[in-house]
Amino acid sequence: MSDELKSGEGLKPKLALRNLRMEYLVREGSIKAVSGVTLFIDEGKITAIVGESGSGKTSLVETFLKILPKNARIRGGEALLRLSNGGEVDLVKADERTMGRLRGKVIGYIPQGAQNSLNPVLTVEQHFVETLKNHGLWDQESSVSEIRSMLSLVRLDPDTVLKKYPFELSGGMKQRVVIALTMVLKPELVILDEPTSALDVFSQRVLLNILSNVSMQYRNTMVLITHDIPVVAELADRVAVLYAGTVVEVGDTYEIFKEPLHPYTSMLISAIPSVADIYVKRIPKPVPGEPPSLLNPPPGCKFHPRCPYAVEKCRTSEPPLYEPKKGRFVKCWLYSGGEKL
Amino acid sequence: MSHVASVKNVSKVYTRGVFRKRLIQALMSISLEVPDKGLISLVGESGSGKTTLGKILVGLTMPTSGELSWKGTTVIKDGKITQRDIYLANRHKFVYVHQDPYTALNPSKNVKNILEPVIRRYKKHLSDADRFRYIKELLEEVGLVPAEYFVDKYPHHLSGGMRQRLSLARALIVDPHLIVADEVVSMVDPSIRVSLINLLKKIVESRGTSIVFISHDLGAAVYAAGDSPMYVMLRGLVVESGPANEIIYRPEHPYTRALISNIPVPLVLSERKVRGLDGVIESESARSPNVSSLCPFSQMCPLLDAECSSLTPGSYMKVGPNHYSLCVKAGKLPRWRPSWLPAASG
Amino acid sequence: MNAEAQTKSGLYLFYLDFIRPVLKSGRGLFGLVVIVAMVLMTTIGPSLIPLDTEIKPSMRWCLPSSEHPLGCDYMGRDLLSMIVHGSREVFLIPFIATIIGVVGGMSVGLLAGYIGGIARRALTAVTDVWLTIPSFPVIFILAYTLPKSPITIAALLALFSWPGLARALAAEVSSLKTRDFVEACINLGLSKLHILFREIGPHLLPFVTYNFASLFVANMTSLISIVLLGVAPLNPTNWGYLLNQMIFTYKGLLIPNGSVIIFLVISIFVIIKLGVVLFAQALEEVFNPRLRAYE
Repeated sequence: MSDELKSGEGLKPKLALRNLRMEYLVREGSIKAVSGVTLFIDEGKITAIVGESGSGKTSLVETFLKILPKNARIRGGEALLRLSNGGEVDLVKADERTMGRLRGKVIGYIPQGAQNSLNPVLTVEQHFVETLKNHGLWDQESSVSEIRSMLSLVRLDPDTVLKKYPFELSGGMKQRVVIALTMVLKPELVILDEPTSALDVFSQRVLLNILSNVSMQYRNTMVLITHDIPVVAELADRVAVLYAGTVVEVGDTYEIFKEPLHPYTSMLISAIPSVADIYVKRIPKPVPGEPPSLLNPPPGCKFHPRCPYAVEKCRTSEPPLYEPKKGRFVKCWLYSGGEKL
Repeated sequence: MSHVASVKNVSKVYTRGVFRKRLIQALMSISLEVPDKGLISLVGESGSGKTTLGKILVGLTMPTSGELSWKGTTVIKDGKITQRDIYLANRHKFVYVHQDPYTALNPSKNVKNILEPVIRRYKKHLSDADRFRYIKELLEEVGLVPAEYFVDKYPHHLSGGMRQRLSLARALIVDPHLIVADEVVSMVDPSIRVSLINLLKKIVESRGTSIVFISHDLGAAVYAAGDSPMYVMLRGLVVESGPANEIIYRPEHPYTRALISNIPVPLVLSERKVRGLDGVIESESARSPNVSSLCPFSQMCPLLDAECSSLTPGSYMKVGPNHYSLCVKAGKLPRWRPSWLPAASG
Repeated sequence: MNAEAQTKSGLYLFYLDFIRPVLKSGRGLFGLVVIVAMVLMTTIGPSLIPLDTEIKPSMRWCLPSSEHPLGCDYMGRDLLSMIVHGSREVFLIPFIATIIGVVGGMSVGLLAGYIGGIARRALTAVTDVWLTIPSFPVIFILAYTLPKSPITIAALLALFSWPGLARALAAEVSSLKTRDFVEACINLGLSKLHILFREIGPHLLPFVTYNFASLFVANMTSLISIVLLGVAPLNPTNWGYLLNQMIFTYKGLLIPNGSVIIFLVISIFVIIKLGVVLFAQALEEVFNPRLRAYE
């Protein structure tokens, strides 16, 4: 698995974010929501971007999808999307027309709570027809069977569901309809923001299966934004941990969980209570302190006020992103020179 | 053993619709006791009735039938208040803390002004100087330190976790007998959930206040209760009750087993593998026809058979010293292990 | 959140919170200027600008000039002095009427909304009937027939000011009552009065502010209109009386200069109305974000 991972050489990533910076202007000053994010999203894999409130994970996505509110300012960086036809486009520099052409057909986006944004006066079938027609993909002959197979993929019975209105469906079913609607356009990159948060345990389980199947069948690139660590452990191939607007660790899921390098990653994983705890004799430990203000972030490494390993250097200068192993990134002074201090 | 609050055969039916014809049964025949100076967990998905039960325990909601007792005295029976003066005198000692830290605090008031009205009401004897000191101690008790920093902050200056601590501080002013903490960690960052639960445990220990911890997160509920009782609820009924740790090790209800098995857990395999739905019948066609049962899990249970039609809500099978299950097959259930446990070890 | 952002002094934050947003918005600035002008007009205006009572036939309907900034009326008197002296009656009576109406409406609305049930339904029924009464004709007739005094007129205006506010306020309170933080206060046994005035009250500020401004403007308009249509004023400098004389008695509209002066008087009134309303809108925007919790 590690062979496919890169940092510029070998296979190029589907989406390469380099030094992305974005801030919101508010009356007290500016909120540095995205401060220097460098992240490579591999093609054909499910990458999870993990962060808590204030980590900037939703802001990050809004930045490269260019759906920011009026008081947001992109201050620098690039977001190179590699298209299936071989071309490349920098989403940061792209104008609204280009973004419009990419959204839907190339980049699929399912925001948080999307199941509530279905049009209440249209049936499921009408939703599909409208979506396909809007993107010029409606074909009298093949579309119907495509819609049906897409619904089956998300484990919905087409005959039952097609004629129904959104209010007749449960939350879990609506979520699946949204996923099917997004996937019917066959986007190369799909971004999902907290897809399982409002669902009960069983619906969540079914949804995780669906997402895994979709990923395997279509071999597209999926980016999962969430704060739910156990979901990440099961569904993601790669994990990127976000803290205070910057990436602090990236790596394969298995390695990150087996041996988290960044103190925040390790403390975060240890802080989640789970039903499995009693079987593995584990007691969760909370992370001390509070996430920092993005209005006036602490100097140096943004995690240093809460970090048990912080030294003087951490308080004054922000560490760069080290790569101790191929495909494994960590933003911590402990790993400078590829060695642990 | 004394109980700080208990309900016996309590049910709650809501009437909806223009003519009040539509009936929604939120709770059906629930009996449970909240031990003195103890913490219990109520676990269930939304719609299970856990919030309704929590509100009934503190007197915010009137049950349609059944009895509510506080410290041994029956205060509500069959929809009427039986001991009015005791009820009114003690109502404020049974406090409900809301889930949403963003709406449970008045956004136009700062910390001091949120706490002060309650302090003036219940600690009249304090002088101005004493009151300030009391606020300081209270904030320190809930972990909002340094207190001086927090007193003039407004809710929107505080994080979700801090707001919940403030809600708890406000509740502690009345020196409550019981705090019902309804999903208090659900809207809080995962990394500090445990510290909030630890705070609740500390409150039980230091003040002798009982706590009912309501959550849809089984992991959090088990961590909170430990060996104390946990009640698993489904569609208005308690399907299993017993020491939380024991329920996780030896669940005696198909629903509990399905819950434990299907929750995502952070045990990672070297290759991505998403487990399938375990212990739940998803499609209607796979169900046994001709079996109608009052069991709340019957629509999805793989073990449904003729025996299940004999189920009576409110009558439980005893499967351990304090461990009860609503399932008619409890004690005879097939051997089980959660699907995420590696086959080799035990 | 970080301590530094909040250690800026309280006064500075007050400025940031209330004054700067008002000044920054075009509406707020415009409105503030108008309101300051109104206050000056009613307080020191009459002492600064003496009333011109001299009848100068040669100066009739004169257009604005350096000597007469707003021109002259039908008798050659300085219009600016008439406007300034008339402002007291035109602003103060409706202002007092509005205060009475708002206080009355608030009391009834808050209580009915909080108690709910029958009280609220009764209030809604009463106000609904009241609101269907055409207020202007009734005020006109009663003002015409009843003995003339500031109290009568203020009372009449107040009588029709309170129902709308009461009804809307009752609805607001009813909905705020269901909010979590109110439920928490009830659970903790805080008194109903405290909840009503200290917890729910601040949330009603933007609503009441805007309604106050609209009512004030409506009452001013009513007053000027009834005087314009013939109800005797208390003071001949009342703008409605000026207009009445200019339009009906002295047929000012038939004279080119006359039309200009009449237009000028009306415009001043319109600007005043606009200023008050826009200022209230700016204030409302300022109040609202403070009350909305943001993450």
